Amino acid sequence: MIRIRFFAGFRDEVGKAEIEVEPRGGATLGELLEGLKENYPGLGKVLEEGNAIFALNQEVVEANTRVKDGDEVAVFPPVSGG
Amino acid sequence: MLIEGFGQEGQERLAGARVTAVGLGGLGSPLAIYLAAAGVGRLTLCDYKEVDAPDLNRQVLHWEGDVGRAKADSALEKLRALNPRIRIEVIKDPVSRENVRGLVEGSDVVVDCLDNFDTRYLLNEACVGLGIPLVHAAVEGLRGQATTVVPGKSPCLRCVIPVAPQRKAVFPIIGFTAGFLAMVEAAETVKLITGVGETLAGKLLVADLGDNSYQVLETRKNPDCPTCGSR
Repeated sequence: MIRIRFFAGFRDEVGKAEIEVEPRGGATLGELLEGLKENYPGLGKVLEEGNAIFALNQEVVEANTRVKDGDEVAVFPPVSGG
Repeated sequence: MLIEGFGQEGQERLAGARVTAVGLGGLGSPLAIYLAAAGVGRLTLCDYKEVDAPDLNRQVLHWEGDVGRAKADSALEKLRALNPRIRIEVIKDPVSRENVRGLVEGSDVVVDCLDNFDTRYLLNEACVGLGIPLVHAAVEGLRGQATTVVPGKSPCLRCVIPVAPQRKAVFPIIGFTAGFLAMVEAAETVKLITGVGETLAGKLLVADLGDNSYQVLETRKNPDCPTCGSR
């Protein structure tokens, strides 16, 4: 399984702190999340804004990174205030 | 001071250092207080705005009686009283593409205490171009992030956050969130100057004071980064 954790505002948008999904051979992180949009419409908004930070196993990566069984994904919104 | 690897030499390095902080709001106020108290020899502080009453919950350099005054003047007065032995300069111009290099040139460390990514990217570009370390933090509500850019060695701000978060007209910031991230920036600045400890170069701290989750993620240089890609 691949564990996807949502943080901060994204948690409210998606409606869940964590989703577990079956790995699909060769899928990228972006493809994996796109595939979840139907069941979690809030995820569409998160992806559309285009500014999410994706971390794969504690490392910041781009959405085109491939994911595999056992991976842990985290999705954060960066903030901009000061 | 008795901190491993710090001592007299560390204090002298601080006294000989020049730090430029851009923004004297929620992040910049506590940062400037702690850097002045730490004895950073030369502080250049930039802010073009005036103190507004709603700022007072977090912009701790500015007090009730300062409302309407230039933040730069208010900061200068307090910091000079706190540490008269250091040199403090203020700049009241907004940061622009035209003036940004001149503003940061000659600094040992630049600290981003801004409230928007357009200006942050300008600062990042100038620092990468001039080879000056840049400490970044941003806050909103109970959350914040921080990273340190060491040009030529670490990813730059645009590698880590390539797309600016959408600008909101009004967003809430609780004072202690800005204070928390400002202290991370102060620590990064002192570590860069003295060589003590490990910095957030190549790392991103994502902090949520709401649920006490503090994560340090590894970051990677983007070989196609429009700012540092060829460096």
